[in-house]
Amino acid sequence: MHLAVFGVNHKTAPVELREKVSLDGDGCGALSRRLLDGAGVLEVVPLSTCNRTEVYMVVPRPENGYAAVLAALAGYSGVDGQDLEECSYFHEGESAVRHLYKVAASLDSMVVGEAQIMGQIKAAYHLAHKQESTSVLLNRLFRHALEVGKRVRTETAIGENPVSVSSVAVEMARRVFDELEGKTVLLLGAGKMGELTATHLLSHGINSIFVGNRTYSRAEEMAAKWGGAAIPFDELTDYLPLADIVISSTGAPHYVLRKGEVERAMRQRHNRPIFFIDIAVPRDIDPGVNDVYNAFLYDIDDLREAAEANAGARQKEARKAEKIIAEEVESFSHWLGTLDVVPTITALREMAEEVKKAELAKALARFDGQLSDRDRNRIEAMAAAIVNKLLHDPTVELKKASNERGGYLYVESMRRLFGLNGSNRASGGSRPKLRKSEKDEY
Amino acid sequence: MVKLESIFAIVTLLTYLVSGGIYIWYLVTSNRRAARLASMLLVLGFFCHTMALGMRWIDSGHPPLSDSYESLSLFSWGLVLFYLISERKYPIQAAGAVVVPTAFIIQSIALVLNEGPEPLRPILNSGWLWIHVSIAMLSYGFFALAFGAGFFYLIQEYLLKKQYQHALAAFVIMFAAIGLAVGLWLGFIWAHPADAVNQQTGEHFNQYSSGDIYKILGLAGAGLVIALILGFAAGKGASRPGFVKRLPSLDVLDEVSYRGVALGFPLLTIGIVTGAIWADKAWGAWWSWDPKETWSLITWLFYGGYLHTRLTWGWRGRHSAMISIIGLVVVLFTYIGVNYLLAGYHSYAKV
Amino acid sequence: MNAEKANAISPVKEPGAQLGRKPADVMFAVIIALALATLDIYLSIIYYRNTGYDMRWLLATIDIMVVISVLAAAGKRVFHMLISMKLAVTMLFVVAIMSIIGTLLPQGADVQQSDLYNSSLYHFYNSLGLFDVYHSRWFLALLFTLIASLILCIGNRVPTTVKKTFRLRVDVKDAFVANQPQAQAFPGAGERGLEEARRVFRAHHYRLHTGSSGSVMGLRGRFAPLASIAFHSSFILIAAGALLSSQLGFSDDSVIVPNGQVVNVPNTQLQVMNYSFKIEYEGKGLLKNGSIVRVRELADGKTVQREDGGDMSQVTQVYDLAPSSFFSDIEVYKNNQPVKRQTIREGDPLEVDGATFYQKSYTYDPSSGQPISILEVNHKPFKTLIYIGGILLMLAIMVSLYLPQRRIWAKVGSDGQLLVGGRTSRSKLGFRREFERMTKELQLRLRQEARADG
Repeated sequence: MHLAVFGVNHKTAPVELREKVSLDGDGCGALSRRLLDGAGVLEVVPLSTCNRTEVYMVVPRPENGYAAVLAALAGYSGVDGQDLEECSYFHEGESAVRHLYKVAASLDSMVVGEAQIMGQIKAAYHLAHKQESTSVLLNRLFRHALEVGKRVRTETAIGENPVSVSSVAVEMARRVFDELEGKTVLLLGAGKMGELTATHLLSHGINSIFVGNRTYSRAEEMAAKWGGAAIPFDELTDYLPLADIVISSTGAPHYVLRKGEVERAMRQRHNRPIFFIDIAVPRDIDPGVNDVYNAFLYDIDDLREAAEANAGARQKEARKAEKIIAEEVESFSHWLGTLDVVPTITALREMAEEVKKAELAKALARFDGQLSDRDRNRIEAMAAAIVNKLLHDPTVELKKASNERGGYLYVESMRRLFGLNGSNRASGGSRPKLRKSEKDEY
Repeated sequence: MVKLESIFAIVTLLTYLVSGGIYIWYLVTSNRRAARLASMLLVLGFFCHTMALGMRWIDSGHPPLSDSYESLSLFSWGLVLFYLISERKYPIQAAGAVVVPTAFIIQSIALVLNEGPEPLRPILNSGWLWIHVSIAMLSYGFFALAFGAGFFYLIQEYLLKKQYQHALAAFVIMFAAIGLAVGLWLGFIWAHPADAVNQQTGEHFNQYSSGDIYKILGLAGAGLVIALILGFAAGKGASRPGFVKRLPSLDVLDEVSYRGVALGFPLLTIGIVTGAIWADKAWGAWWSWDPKETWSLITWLFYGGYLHTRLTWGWRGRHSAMISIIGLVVVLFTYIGVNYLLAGYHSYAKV
Repeated sequence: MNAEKANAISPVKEPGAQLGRKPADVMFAVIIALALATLDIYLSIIYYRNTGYDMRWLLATIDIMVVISVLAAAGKRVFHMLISMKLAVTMLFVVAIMSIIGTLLPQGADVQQSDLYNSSLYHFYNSLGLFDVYHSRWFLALLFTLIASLILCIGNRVPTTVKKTFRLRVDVKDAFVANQPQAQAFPGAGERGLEEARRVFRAHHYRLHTGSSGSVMGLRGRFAPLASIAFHSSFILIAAGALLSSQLGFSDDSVIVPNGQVVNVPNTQLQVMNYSFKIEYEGKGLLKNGSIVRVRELADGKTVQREDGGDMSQVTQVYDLAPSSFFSDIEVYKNNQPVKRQTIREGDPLEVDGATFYQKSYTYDPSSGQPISILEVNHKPFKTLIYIGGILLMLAIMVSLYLPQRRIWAKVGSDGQLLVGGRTSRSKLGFRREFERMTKELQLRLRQEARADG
């Protein structure tokens, strides 16, 4: 019984291929059914986002699993099997665990440290859980992976520093205003970048938005999209005092906003701060605006520089995250090791042997040396026979179960019923730790 | 009793030292566990501090406000209290790297000046006076909070204006200035000049010996060095992109600074009015323009100005932050400087 | 976010041009300025020649009027300047800075003991009133300007504040609510939403007022603006009390009464005789076992006691003695007839015929080195006014800053959505947090209700 993952991601496959193998909810269900019913796969969780499609599995033998999932995915997506094989990767055992943890910690993401991946993993797992395609092993693996993701996020600053220009702009604005809720944005020009930044700001609770553009109809169009209001471009200075954040991305060859205009607006708004984002090239806003009391001006270079510096910082944090992941992988592997059938059977036998020996010694001592060697051998043989008879069926069953779905349940029960974890209770801590609420789900 | 008090006082000092060090460590490394540990230590130190002050009160029979040790110790106690409260309300752990070492320095100077519990003139041991002094002290604590927020406002604003360049220089200069000022101030207190009397006129004046000068210069230098180290650490931390996240936003800093003043101002008003009532009862003059009175009036006018400039001139942000910083300088002069540099009725009170 | 809201905001236009002025107004102002300046100079000459009556208050007032009329003549809009708080705030800082001078230079009689007394600058400084800053004409003029501008500012604000406090703006338009600094809309919440909003407001300790059109106003710290007016008014009370007391009463803070002598109290028909002046000391005593106790030397100058009541014979050494309290055994005469005798000490004065005798401090006789008592004798007929002003000052500033006003409105809009909006004058961030909490609670309640329905 082995853990394995098969997948394609943004590093290995072009976007055309990723699009084809991408799975929706139904697709995941169908794929899982196919693998579980036809190919002897024991547990499946498909994970499909815009940058990756991966299938996590528990299989009796990795080779079979690989062939099965390749065939299933190729069949489902209509991609040529060989093409898919070339663009894909396959990990098994510990390296599969490490892979999932890295994905969860968003070290494997296109933008290292991005936050969505945790939600996507959670959703994929819940879906698989609902479709009953998971059992003990993947249940624990995915829950643990989410824990790892969270741990990386809290213990390192990997997600803290925005790395895109528009999110840096939001970040800077929040250093001025704390919360963006209830603030007013003035968007000048119809540049793509400006639009993107405005959308980003709106998702942070911006209250109202004015749009100004040389072509009034275009401004109206954009304003309608966000539920804002279009303003005549010539009257923009009249609206300036109302704006907390100004985004400018016009194609004008000269400055659209000058220092004097901003000074006047600042007086009218009683020095409440204004945050200017100038994304246009050539610049729209007079750099002197930055000297106006309580006005803060960031142009595209400033934002880009900050984003790059942040990306560098994330790389450093990623190294810290790798360490955490290594720790967690080890802890999971340890737990996994306890679930192997052979060691369990060995442990069971050892335990029985010990019990037998101890009881024999006690019983023989009571005879005070009155027994002959023959009698003695007979008694010992009987004890051995009882032990063997008692253990025979559980051992056979356990071996059989190990190749079935959910077989680990037997191993776990066996270990618990016979107290096989008892002697090494101290090492119980090495099991992947789960929060209380999650334990309760069992 | 006295022995137990000094044990508590020393434990307080040590925990403040260690906690302050960890806060600085946090500032540089952004290790959250460090911040938590520092905060826990600070709570422990605060407990010991409270015990020490409480024992002093029991021992001397009057509230611990009558001499330099007691009032300085109470001041740093208040500082830590305000900090602990605001740390729970606002995410300002970064401020701990400044507040806690400051509390440590003040507390250590207080211990140097400690001469054991002093008797108090009966006229000074009256209910009005204790209300007057403790309320005034409380208001100073709030003004110190306003100062801290204003200080960080200036840093955050500077960084935002300069697109986060020259962060190191900004921090080093800001901290060095503050460190030098605090060192000089504490040096003057520590030097504790001999009270000499002019034989002809009977006039009292302060006489500084060469030892006093060394003390002043030494402390000023120490303040400068500590502040440079702090500033360097903070500046190093600030050069990392994550740092500024730990510094609250301008809005929050401005608000905290304003709240400090808005909470302190009524207390200062009460302090001044109760002082006037008490003076009228004791000496028949509710206002005699003695330096301490005048300076507390100046302080009061100053913070009154702070509140009004916000409302009428829309002074918020940098200007307000600067006023709150200058305001604390005025407060410290009123609180300590007047006693040592200017003569007056309050001079015997040592508070 | 809704489109109507954004549209409801109108652009901000520059204020209109300045009003023109007629030449006749300017002429009038020039004449007044000249007349006042002449009066000012004339009275000043009288005052400085004959120092009999204290005219500084009057002179200071005329000084201000001269300045104001000159400004008016120069074409400034004086009235607007006076009622704008800018002048008052400027004066606040000016008075603060000018007050510093008095703390740096010796004041009153002290100057005679300082080096400055013999310096060439003495007369220059003295003519500027720098040795009695707080009673100098220019300082009084500054204080008067502050108070005058204060009175005008208060007068200007009283009507609107009273109106706002007692005639609440309960019935409001949709746009008014939506345009508050904090505002949120709950689509489809309707009348039930309004009911929930009332509950939430009440839970946050707002007082509710319901308008005839069904809109709800929640109010907290209703009297804060009024308290602010009361706070500023109390200065007028205090200033009036101080002015009236100084004009109608008297005060002398350095009546020196050597032992056994009868001294005339200036400005009164009273005399005061000091039988004896005594000082009590406190210090430390070293015990034989090495520990230190507090000791007190009684006023008789001989007896030394331990504060803890212990055995004095254990004390080997007494040191660090410092005066702890002092007493004068005085008798007051009116027209040379004894009226009352009492031992006074700090905080325990003697009152006769409206005049109060306080133990102030002491000095040393330059020849004998004996301590001599210094008394303060005064009569302040309007002391009560000052006390009322002081108490009002404390109460009003606490209400004004600790219980700031917060106003919120809730209203069902024309399209069935619930509009909630509010504002505050102080601590905007704190209010914003509270508002966010309230809207979240409201959201939760509405959702629960929807679930209960479904």
